[in-house]
Order: sequence, then structure tokens, then C-alpha cells
Amino acid sequence: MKSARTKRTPSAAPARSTRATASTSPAPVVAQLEAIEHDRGDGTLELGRGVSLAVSSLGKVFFPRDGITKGDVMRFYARVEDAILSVMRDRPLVLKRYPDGIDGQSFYQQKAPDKAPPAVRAETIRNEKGEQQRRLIGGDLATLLYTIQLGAISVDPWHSRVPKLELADFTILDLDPGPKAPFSRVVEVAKLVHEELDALKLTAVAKTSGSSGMHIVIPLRPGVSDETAVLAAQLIATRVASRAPRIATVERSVSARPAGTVYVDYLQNIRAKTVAAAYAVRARPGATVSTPLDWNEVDDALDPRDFTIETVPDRLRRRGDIWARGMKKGNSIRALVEAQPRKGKTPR
Amino acid sequence: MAAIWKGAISFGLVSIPVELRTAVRGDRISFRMLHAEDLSPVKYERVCAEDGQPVPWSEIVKGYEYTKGKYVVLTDEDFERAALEGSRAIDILDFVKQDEIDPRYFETPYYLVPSKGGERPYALLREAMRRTGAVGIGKIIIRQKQNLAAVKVVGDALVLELMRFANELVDTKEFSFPAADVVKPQELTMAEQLIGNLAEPFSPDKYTDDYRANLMRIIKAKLKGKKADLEPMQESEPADEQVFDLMSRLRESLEQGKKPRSGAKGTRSGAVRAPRKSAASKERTPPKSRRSA
Repeated sequence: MKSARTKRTPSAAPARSTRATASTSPAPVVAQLEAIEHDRGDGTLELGRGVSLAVSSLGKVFFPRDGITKGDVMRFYARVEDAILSVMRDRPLVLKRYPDGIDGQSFYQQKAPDKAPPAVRAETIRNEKGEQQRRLIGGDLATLLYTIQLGAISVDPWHSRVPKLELADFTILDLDPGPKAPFSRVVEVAKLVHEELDALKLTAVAKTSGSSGMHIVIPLRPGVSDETAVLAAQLIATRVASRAPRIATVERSVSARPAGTVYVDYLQNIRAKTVAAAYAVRARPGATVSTPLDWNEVDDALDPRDFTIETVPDRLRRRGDIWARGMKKGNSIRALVEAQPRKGKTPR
Repeated sequence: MAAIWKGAISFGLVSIPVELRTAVRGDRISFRMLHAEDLSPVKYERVCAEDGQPVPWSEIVKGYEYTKGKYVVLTDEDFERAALEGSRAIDILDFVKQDEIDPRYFETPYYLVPSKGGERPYALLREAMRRTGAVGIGKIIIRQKQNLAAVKVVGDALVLELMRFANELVDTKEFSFPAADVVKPQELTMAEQLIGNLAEPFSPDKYTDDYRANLMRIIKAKLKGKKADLEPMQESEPADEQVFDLMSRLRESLEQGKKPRSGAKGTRSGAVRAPRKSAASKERTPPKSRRSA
């Protein structure tokens, strides 16, 4: 296993513990953002404990059909701060930047920008190719808002944390519907995944991807290699696809997948691959949010378009942090393996 | 599994002590008949066909119906007298070539297992039969009834195959089958090609009892109060294997995780094995954030 050595850059230190907003002396971040946007759109956010972050062009429209601005996206993240920061804490971040909004060109950015301000957390890690590289590391509001300042909309965190980047703390099944699979089929497959998880005595959190699919995230006990995480996801995906091959597939080739099936993708667990974080905004019409769900919400009535930057802060207040609750206790892969017969076939 | 017969294979002057063990597993799902109203088990009872009254075992005898409604009664003593006595032996009468025996004659296989002290002559007979490609034909009395039997070599085992007597087989002459001269040569060539395309070595593991598996699924689903999803029957076997394979790889990966990491630093940059895929399938285009596996 590759060891991912990390080095903390001196600039990262001061920004680490900027979580509290309301309790510290500066005005709430949401109000500051509003003020700046109403003014000229450019200004400096005071994030408490002496941390500040320059922001600009907050009135820039990110979602043309919905009239949602860069400031709106930042305000959303400030509203769900506690929830999303704990999702991202200590994880390298992958940015997909939309400098001209969701209808414009976009590009991925893995490296931390050289001119990142001191409030932003960046660390040198060994990337998936084994090279030393500076990456943005999630966990504080300054870093998160900085990514939005750069034009990123959703921010994808790694499945592992610094400094142990070879250890995954969850494994994900990404349910990705084919061109002819309606969302109801994604729900159907998600339920099958849930049944298989129950059969294997595993717990998981389901969330909308914020796009057309769903993610099912299985928390793992500490110390699980990313290789093991991939295999665990592959095992579940294979069980589901073999049980219902007409609606679920693990076929990797897009062209070989029937258009009406849901691709149960377990390969996003490979190190440095990412999926959108829980509570992340997606670059989709309506500014939908990847939203953790209670399993009883995974039914025919589920519509991922219901969860947007407008509705999710309120939902979070009402229902609490479903993600944090579900991820609290990791599953033991060892227990999973030991519960299975060692070799031979299922008795017939 | 208990021996269903103990005795000896005898041919010439040699006698090899052996036991007969069943080679066929009764794999049927068994059902109990129940009273639909309250699901209490239903039992059989022997009743008199004349008056409908139950008849105890002590009052039951066996009769042979020699003409309609007329019986001759056979007593236990009669059966005993007819039963073939004594020889607890498989008397091998002839050795024949395996392919000389029409497979329609074979009925049920049993394993011949050497009894104590029989191992060496057993091995000797087996190797001699293997070298000569011979199958022994003989008679064996099981439960007082005489059976025709073939003894043949399967791997390290001698297998005794109970056979039908010639009079038990229905002759093909009782049916009419088309003659060969109705076939056109071109058609024959095409049909031969088709067969060639499907030619495979025989692997019995490939063929599964889907009906039984379906029933088991339905039963399991009913236990959970659900309707069974029967779609994947066709490929259930390979999928099971895949899952088992994954389970053992998962186990291996856990074992690897226990080893100290220091020695392996940087040596395995591609920490995750690419999953297997068919040679024909193409990798889907990886977006930038993805590493090609």
C-alpha cells in the first residue's frame, strides 16, 4: 500500500478552527454575503478569529434559468456550514470550476492554486500518481467559500482523510441511471441495495446525487484500505446486479449497458476518485443539492428536484443531520467477511 | 452415509470385500401435505376399499391379481422362498468394453468402497480394469432381489451401476422413426456446422436445476413476506461464484491490511486492482478526476 505522506504548509494553520459564525464577533456570514452582494459584489468576509477571505462578483449568475448567483451558493454553504464542513473535514478536494456559470465551460482542478490566500487550507500530499502536490483540504468555511469564489459549485471530497490517504472511511455505490431509466428505477435499485445491505448486516446512508442518480454510502470502521473499500462495494453491487439484471448492472462499458438499467458503480471508491459530497450543490438546473435521506424516504414519491439550495437548509433544521447520524458508526468489513461461508458454493 | 449393502466382488478366485454407498443425492425439495383450513399435516391411512374402514398393518397381505378381481395371496414365507439366498457377492460374469453398453441399460450408480482389508485387491482390480478399458458385468442381490450390474472405473472409484434387464427396455420397433434418406446433403452440411459451433466438452456443473432454485427463492421470499424476483435464474450460478470470489478477495485484502505498511511504501502505486471484465468490453472514458485503472 502506498503511503500518502502529507506536509502541512505553514499557511494552513490559522484557518483550521473557524467554524463558529454566530457566536463570534463578526456579523453572521450570510448577512455579510448579502451586504457585499448588494453593495458592489466585491468585499472581504470576516470569518472570526481573525480569519478573512476576499470575495468578488457575488452577483454573478451561476444558474441562469433560476437566477441563482454566486452569492446565493455561498450563502447556502454558510447556512449548512456545520453539516457540510464535517463531511469535508481533512479530505482533499476536487474542484469542478464553472467560471461562466453552469451553462458555460467547465474544467477540473485538482491542484491548489498557487495564489491561494493564507486563510485557505492547502497541504502537500502524495497524489494518486505518487507525485507530491499541493491540494486544498476541506473542513473550514474559508476554504469552502474560496472554492466557490473560484467558480466551483459542487466540491468533491476524497473518501479518505489526510494524513492517511490510503484508508477510506466509507465506501460508495453510485447509482447512475442509463438514458432510458427513469428515476423510479434508481429508487427501485436503491431499495434492492438496501435489502442486500440488510442481508449483510451493513448500515448505510442514501442520498440523492443532486443530479439524476443516488449515492449509497456505507461508513467503515477506521483502518480499512481503499482497496478493501472498493471490493466491499463491488461485492454489494454484484449481488444487486445478479439479483435484478434487468434493472441493475455492473457493466463498465457504457455501450454494453442496457439503456434502461441503472449502473451500480463501485469504482468511484478507487483512491482519488470522488463523488459529490453530501449537502453539496450540483451544477444542475434548479441548483439541486445532494441530500441525505432517511431510508423510508427512498420510495416512489422521492423526487431529487425537491432538494435545492432553497429547501435544504430548512430541511436540515427540521430533520437534523441524517448524514452525520448515519455515518457515526462504521461497519466492520471483518465481521462481514467472517459471517460468510469460507469457500464452496451456496448449498443448493 | 450408511452402507446399503456389504459383500464382496468375486471373479475367478479373487474376492474383494466391498460396501455399496449411494452415489446419488436425493435433492428434491420435500413438501408436506396440509389441510388448507388450518395447515395441520394430513396423513395417509390404509382403508378397506369395500367398507371404507381403516385396516391395521397386521391384517394386510399381498395379492397377485391373476385375472380381473381375482387374487392369489403370497405370504412372507412365499417371498422368502423366492428370494435369492446367500451369495453376498457381486459375481462378475464377463468383462466388456464400456462403449458396447447401450446407456439405456444404466439405471442407478453406487460407489463401491473397499471394506477393511480390501484396499489392495480393490486397487489392483481397478488399475487392471483401467488399463484394459474393461467394464465388469455381473449380478448382485440387493434386498433379496437380483439385479444386473456393471462395475466400472471412475477416477479412483469403482462404480457399480445397476442395470436394467433386456426385458425391461421398450424396443424401438414399437415406434416409427424416419429413415436417413429423407435428408438432403446440403441441409446435412449446414446442420453439421451448427453442431460444430455449439460443440463443447461436457461439463455437468454448467447445467443447473432452475426449477428447484426458483422454488427455493419463492420459499425464501415468502418467509420474508415478499414476492420472489425470479429474473436472474439464467446466470445465478456464475453470479454466485463472482460473489464468492469477491468475498475471498475481500478477505485477502483485509489480511494484507494487517501487515505493516512501511516495507511496501511506494511500491504499489496502483493499490487497487482493476476489476475483471470481459475482453470485449471497453473502458468508459474517465473524466479528469478519475485515474485510469
